[in-house]
Amino acid sequence: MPGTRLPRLLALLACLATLSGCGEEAPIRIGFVGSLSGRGADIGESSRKAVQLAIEARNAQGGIDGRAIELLVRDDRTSAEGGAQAARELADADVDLVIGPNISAVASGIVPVINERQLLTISPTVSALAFAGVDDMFLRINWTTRDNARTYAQWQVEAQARRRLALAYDTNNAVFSRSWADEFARAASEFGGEIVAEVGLDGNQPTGFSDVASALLLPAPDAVIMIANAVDVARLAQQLRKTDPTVPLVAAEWAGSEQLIALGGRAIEGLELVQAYDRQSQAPGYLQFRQAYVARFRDEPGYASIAAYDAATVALEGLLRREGRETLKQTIARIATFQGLQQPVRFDPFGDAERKAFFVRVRDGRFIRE
Amino acid sequence: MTLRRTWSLRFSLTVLLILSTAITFSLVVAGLLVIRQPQLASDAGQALERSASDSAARVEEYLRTIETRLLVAGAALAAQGVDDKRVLAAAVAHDLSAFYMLDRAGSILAARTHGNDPRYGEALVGTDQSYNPLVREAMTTQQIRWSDKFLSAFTGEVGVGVAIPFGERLLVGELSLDTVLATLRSMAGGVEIDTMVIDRRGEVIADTDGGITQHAATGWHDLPLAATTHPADGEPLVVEIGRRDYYVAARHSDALGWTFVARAPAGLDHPGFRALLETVAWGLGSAILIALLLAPLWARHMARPVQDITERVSLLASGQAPGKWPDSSIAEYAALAEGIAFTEAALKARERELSELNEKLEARVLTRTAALSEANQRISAAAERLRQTQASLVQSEKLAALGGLVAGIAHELNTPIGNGLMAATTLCEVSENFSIRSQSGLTRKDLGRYIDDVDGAVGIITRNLNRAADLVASFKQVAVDQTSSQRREFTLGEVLDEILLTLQPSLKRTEVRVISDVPSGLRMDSFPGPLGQVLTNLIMNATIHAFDEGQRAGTIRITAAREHGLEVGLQVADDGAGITPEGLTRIFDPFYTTRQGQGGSGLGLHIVHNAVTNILGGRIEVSSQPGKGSCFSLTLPMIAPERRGIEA
Repeated sequence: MPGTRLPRLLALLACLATLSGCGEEAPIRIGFVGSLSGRGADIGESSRKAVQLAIEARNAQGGIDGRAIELLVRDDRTSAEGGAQAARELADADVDLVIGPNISAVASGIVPVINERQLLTISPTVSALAFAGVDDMFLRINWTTRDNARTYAQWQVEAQARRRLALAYDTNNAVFSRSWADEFARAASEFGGEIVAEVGLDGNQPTGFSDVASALLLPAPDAVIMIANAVDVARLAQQLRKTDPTVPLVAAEWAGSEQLIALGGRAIEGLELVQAYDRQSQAPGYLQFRQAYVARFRDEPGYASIAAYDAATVALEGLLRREGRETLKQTIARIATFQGLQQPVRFDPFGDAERKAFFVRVRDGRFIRE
Repeated sequence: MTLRRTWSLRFSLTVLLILSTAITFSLVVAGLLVIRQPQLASDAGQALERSASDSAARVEEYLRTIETRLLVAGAALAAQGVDDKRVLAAAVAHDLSAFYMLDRAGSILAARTHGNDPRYGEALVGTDQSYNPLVREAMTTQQIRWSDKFLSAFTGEVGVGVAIPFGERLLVGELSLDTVLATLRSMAGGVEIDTMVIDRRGEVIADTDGGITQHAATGWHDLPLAATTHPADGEPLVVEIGRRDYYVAARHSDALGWTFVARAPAGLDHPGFRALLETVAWGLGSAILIALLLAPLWARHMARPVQDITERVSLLASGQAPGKWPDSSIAEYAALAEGIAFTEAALKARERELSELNEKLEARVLTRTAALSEANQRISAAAERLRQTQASLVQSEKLAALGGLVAGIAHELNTPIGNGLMAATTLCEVSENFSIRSQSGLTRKDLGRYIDDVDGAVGIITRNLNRAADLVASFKQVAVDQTSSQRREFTLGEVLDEILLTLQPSLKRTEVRVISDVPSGLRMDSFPGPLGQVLTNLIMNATIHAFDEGQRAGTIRITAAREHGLEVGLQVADDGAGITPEGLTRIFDPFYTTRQGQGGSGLGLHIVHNAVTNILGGRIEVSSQPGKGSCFSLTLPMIAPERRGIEA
């Protein structure tokens, strides 16, 4: 190391002397927006790690046309305002595109900003119906709450004959959870089900969820459906199990992070979820990714990691294959189909992509595919 | 040809001074930087080492107080007769965000979160935490365990926690990341040193400059390993974060399982180096500024004497008075001025001398010119007189020749006319005698004799008168030729015969024989007069000079032949006395004669030479052997050139 100092210093002086710029080519910047603090941090972190992994891999292969990629990370503080501010900061930092956010409530703050700044944004997980079917700068690679809630309803009511259902939904991400709850209720009634209780869940309330649990269990439902993040689902499950150790617990896909198990402990044993990826997949790309992720972060990748990695794949491939004066959005629209870790990502003309559904259950502290 | 750019001395000096200042300073600065930079880096590395160690020590110490507090709380909760609620409230009163006690199975026995209603904690009692990694590890190892960064189910926040086995129970405290950060920040890290805490998985727990963690491309998890392997006394490890280089030093806390990383901007961004650079830049700037201010003044001071000298030298060169030579405090300039002043004095003295010399010379030239012009006039007058004299001489020579000719003619005519006269006189006497006899009677015999006498006399008279007429005709032709110098066609032989005829009276009195051997029919278109004169002069010259006025016997042979082309070769050769070598070289010069004072004019052969070359357009040469004779060889064009003018 000391041997390389002198030439570098002389080069530096030469640069100073000639007053000429001697910087290498500016890197390509990609922004990431996610919840890195607060209750959404599990999903935010696992998304961030996956994007980081994808970019590090791309940089190791020479970046984009010899230009390194720099990842700028912003915490959206799980709020629309936080998301909007993060998007503005990233736009100011001249990022080529943004990956994120995870949560629909944040997306509602971000979307107006990125549309105004013409900043392409790819969300790995946002699924609220409000963002689907709009031709704007916001691309999603998740299903919509409508599809998902319908899948849940069909599974619960039709397949498992649970007709009386209690719903708990996160009031802090109402864009998503309200939409999800409504779609689920509509589908459930279609399949002959009935919502017997519907309780709002505010993670920030200082008293805990014992009263929420009581309200949900009061009508003695066939199952309790929880539309909330992992922390709140874990806490609610703990309270529900204190009162009723047997009632089937179901969580919307949002909660399905790896932290859910650590947080929920034995209370979430038997919890049912639908997920957009297959934990038991033997796809070589996925296995390779999982291995790299574990080695890098000493942590298991979650559904948000898979989705975020696919979002990064779309972004990087778009940057790599951009032609002439094409915008990134045009490139992605032209390519349309990308190879994801477990399934292809196909964009419709509105920039929405579908995911396959996998039914899972927590057994012995692990998510097991049904 | 390329134009060479010239700079004024003042400009050159200014540039020289500024450049030398800048270059000297730059070299010094470069040297200083090269020497100082590793030292600064090493200092920075040591400062970072200290900072990392201090941070680790401080945070460890602080977290130990938390452990102690948890143990106190645990002991209090285990003790009888203590208000659990107050113990729990006291535990989370300050920096703990959550506190809970678990049984062996991982179920919560008591819990309290900071800032929440006590009922929130109570609701947690009985919930299962056995899948919490921290709880698992602490239970397995039965040792105090600090967690990695994790998402708390109780606070819904990302934080860190500690699990302390306490008998059959487990005490767990959770801290918000802000608390760790506040502790880290309470350390004075030093100038531009930032510190971060990294957990076992490489995730950032706290960073005194949070902005940098937004550059997530750096793998913090790789840092502890790398940072602990750097040489202790050398330069610190450099990592690139967000396109900037940082020096880093790391200290691993075994008690916490965390790594403390201190960093400071590296290279140019390093404060020490930047301060040095700033100082140096100020120094360089000041030096150049001073040089910029001083250099023109100094250059002016240096250039002024040279300019003065130059001005005076050009005045001097243009002949004006340069005035006083400038005096300079610089020895070379003073010497230069003195030298030029000395040169000026020498130049002036030389100039004076030259002008005096010049004046004298001019006077002498005037005198000489007057003398020369006088001499020239005299010479011109003399030459003029000479020319007149020569012309009159030539004229008198011609007249003399004409006189000779007339004398010859008279003499020649004398004989036939005398014979005729005598025959006529005799006839008269015969006629008188016959007349007298006729009175006395004539005899037949007398008449016959008389007729015979008359016939004889008439025959004599007729013959002699014919002879005289022929002579007159010949003379007339010669005279016409000689006087008119007309051009005509003629035969060389005829002209020669006529000349010889006219010379006959002169030659008759001498012992010289003239033999003419000229082929007939040699026609020429030339000037017979001058040709005759040439032949006459050559023959008479030979008679006089070769044969001693004709007293000696000898032969003059005249031969002619047509030579190549339209030229006639004519030789007049004698076997007389010959000509001396000295005479041969001057024989055609005017007034050259060997008979000075004996009647020779010295113009005869000169006239011959002029006539041959100028009028006849030919050449004349002479060869001679003293005692054996001479030969004049003429080469004459058969058609003479047009006359350019009659001369002598």
